[in-house]
Amino acid sequence: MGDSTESVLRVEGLKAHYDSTDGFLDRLLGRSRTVRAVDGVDFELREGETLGIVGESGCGKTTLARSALRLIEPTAGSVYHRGEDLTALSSPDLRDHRRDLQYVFQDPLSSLNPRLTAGDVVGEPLEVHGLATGAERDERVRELLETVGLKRSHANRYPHEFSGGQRQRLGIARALAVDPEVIVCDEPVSALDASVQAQILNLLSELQAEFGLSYVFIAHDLRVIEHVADRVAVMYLGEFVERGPTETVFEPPYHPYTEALLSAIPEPDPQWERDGVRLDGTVPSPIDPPSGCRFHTRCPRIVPDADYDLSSEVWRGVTDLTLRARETDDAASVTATRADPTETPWETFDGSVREEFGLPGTLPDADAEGALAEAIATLHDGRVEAAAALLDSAFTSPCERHHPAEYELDTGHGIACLRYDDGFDEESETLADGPE
Amino acid sequence: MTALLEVEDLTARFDTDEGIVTAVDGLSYRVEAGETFGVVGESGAGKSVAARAVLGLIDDPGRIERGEVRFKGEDLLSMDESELRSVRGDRIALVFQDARAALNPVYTVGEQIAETVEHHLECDPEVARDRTIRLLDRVGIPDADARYSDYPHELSGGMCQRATIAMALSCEPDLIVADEPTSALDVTVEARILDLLADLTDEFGVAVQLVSHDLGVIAGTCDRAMVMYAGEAVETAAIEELYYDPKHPYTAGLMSAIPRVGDGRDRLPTIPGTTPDPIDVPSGCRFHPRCPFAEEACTRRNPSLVDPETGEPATIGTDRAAACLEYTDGLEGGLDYSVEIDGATGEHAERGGDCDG
Amino acid sequence: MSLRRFVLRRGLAVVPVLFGVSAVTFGLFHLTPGDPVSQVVALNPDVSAAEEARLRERWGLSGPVWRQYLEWLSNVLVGDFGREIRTGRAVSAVVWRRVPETLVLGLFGWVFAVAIAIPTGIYAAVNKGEIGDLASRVLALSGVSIPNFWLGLLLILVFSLRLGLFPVLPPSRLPLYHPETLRYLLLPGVTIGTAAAATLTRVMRTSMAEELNEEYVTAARARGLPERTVVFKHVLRNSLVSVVTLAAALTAGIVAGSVVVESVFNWPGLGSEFVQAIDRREINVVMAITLVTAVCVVLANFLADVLYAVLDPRIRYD
Repeated sequence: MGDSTESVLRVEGLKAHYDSTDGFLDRLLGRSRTVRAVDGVDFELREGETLGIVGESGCGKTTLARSALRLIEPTAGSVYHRGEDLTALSSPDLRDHRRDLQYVFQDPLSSLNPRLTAGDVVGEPLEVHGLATGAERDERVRELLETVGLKRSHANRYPHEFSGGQRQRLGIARALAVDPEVIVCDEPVSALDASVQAQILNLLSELQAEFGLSYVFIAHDLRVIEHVADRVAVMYLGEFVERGPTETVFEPPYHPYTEALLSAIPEPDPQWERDGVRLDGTVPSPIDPPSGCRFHTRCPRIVPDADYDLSSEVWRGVTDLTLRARETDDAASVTATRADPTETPWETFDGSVREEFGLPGTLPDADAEGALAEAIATLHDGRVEAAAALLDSAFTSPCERHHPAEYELDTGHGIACLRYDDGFDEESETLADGPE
Repeated sequence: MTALLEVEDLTARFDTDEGIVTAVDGLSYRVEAGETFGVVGESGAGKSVAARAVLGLIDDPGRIERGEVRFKGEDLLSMDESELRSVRGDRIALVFQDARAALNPVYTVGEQIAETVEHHLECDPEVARDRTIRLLDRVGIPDADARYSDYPHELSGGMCQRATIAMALSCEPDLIVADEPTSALDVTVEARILDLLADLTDEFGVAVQLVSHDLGVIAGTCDRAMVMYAGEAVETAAIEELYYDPKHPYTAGLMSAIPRVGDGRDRLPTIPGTTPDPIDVPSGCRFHPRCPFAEEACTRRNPSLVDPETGEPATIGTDRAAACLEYTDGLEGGLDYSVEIDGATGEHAERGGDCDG
Repeated sequence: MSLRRFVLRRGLAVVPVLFGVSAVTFGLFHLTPGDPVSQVVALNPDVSAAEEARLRERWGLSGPVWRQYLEWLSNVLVGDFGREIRTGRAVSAVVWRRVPETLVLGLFGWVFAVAIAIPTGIYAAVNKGEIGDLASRVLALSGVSIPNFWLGLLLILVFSLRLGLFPVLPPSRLPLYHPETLRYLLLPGVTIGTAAAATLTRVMRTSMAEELNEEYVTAARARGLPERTVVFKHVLRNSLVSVVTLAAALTAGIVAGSVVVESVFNWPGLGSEFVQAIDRREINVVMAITLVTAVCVVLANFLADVLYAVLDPRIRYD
């Protein structure tokens, strides 16, 4: 990305993996499983801007934010703040940087001592960093409460006496107390009602203008992200799939995932017709992410194999059939009915498989039809594994084989998708450069 | 002509340590056969309590103080437990916000649906099982046969919600009360579930009372809707009238507070303050402390639902009603807001004057 | 993970625990000063040093502790706990003869506890805050606070001496499978099970009351299921999950209780043997009984784990 203004936080190749081993015995037997929550992310936060990070639950947004501030130890990569790599710092040095890097939680008080008053909650960081004590501290706390739209007298109240919106104001006051440069806001408004959400969003933008803050703003709600962010990164399964200035990300050309997220937003307009692409299923497990483009298992715009003359839509159906055949060991499960395939007449079985995966009675491409028919016949014999192998060898999308690199469409707007990559040759299905 | 469901003057109270909370206060509305009726409001508006009260499912320390819930003309609240049970799950089904929590963790999803089927349809376990698998398949659960034996924790949130929808449909009810059915889900999953609900209501001809805090969800699925605030209905209207011509300042404020993709607004209009403390609701109109148009009269008199054209008191059959003094007494300043309808992306409401506190 | 794999894994995990238990038992008795030989020597001052060494050799008390332990363990594994020092009888014979008596008493106490606790707990939870719930709370509190030796004496006083309903002392050798035994078993069984019943009742009530607040209960009611089905099919199984763990943990309490209760009722089980063995400084007997009861507790916990997984499918996937 271009570097027009100075960056306050620069993240390079950040990875956060953790172990989800079952216990002592599994570790003994070497059955460790690595959860690749964040898997190689770069970004740069510029002074005074808001970087929005959006994605479904389970895509690694929160882990990214926490590992970038070293609240969770990153597995690899660097985080530069004021020219120093946070990942290489010792904890006293890190604490010095932490003053500039604050974090606002979804419910900021859920992790705090309920016996502390609001004043103590906000005043704590002042004391921890040795900024103010005694009467000076109390005065500063009261000022901060006013800054975020609370009353000075609220300092003596306890967290449970505040409403959700007021608590969020308190969380923001606490983050502001140490006069930071960067605030990472992790879903700060998603637990709030619409009317209160608007208040908090307005407050955040006022504070940004007043104190020159930079925000990393995490949310699953694209409407909120579009409203607050100057630049947006769309995250899927531990990686960024698209990023750029907000206007460009929210306008075509889109990454297919961004497009799917956008078309899923429910518009508060009765005459608005929901159109565009639909996404099935949920984010796959980050333990063993899909090969190639991680989104290929759900992508509605998956690139078909150039050997066949098939549309994306048909290809999607074939890929879904392949995925299902790979997962299951029961041929009956690939049809809409629960009848035993070997007992069903072939035509009926063939029809119900095609119906389940939205495939036409005959594929428009003769070679593809031949391969599909053979696979369905194999399924009909109840040999699921053989059918999966047939499908696998006959139908492999380039998206399954190539991990797309970010391709810069125009300044600062990058999409990691083969469809946009000039280096990708659809005929030969090869990438001019970049990793396999 | 009676509607499928007629709720009249429903009042539900909860005894808490801090005092008595009137969660629902004199609520009246109707749901016609086959329609989707939206109930929208923020937290504390009383919409969930209202939803559960329909089935008489208010537990201690709550109780239904007064009112009637007439289902096909019969008052459910005066029925005895066994009569009520024959309606629950059979004629009226409930869908919950957190589908996984609504399923018993120690029984498989299929068992729980089949249990309902067996109980109400008095059929053999084998028949119930078959029906369950067909239902699971119908609500879009792939490999329904195998999923029958899955426990709730083995399914994703979206799949669990599909399963509870299958459960709700299992006895082909006349009415499904869905309490925030998609609020816990990702937008992508939410979109699929809402599509599914719309398909199924068409196919089964079932009426839905859809409770949601999300105006987008209500707009896309409902025929009519009611807006609730602090335990009361403040506006009822057909869906397009509600969105394009909101009659209550709260409705208008709520709509303008939603950020919209592409609207280019730097600041969002807000409703100042928060939902009132349910133990100590404001005098007069409950919305007056947050209302940009509130006048002295609003602090004294609580407006009732009236037809905004005529000012006549609304009845259960009234299609268009709002509870604002403007329509009976006329506010000195009037209600100064307008709605902009943007051709491509729809509308949003903007209020006149600066009402951001 | 399937249930079978889960059981296998937990079963495997029991093995190192049993080794640990045996090591701790052995260590406790061998690292404390004063072994049986020194006691013999103290009682018979004319024992020569050579004689003493020979005794140590014979009783396996010479050499480094770890070797003594391994030797003892290899014998234990084939069921040989050594011999009584005074009589020379095989310890295993002494202990095994007593095991059934204690097992019957413990089981009776345990069944009594469960049989009282589960229905009472359910009743109290369903009728939370009402008079029955309050009464059960008072009873449970008294059950926990009454010392078992005092309760035993009280029961003997009232039911045996005053009312003459039960015999005071059991015969020295009880025919365990005879209906008559029940008359002897009742009072000590109730005594040993009372504290457990009281604790279990409270846990059952709390657990049940918690489950009753869960959303799936409302959902089950919303499906029109009868209250009976909701409580006994849906809520009960979930609330048993936490009760099962506690019931297993109570095994240890029952075992400990048997030492006192068996003495009070002169019940010829492991507990009274244990007390006598300590009196007689029969270290091998004491060790054998400690080990046997420890193994029982470990196995009871293993069973609880398995039952836990049967009741709650989520456990197997953790």
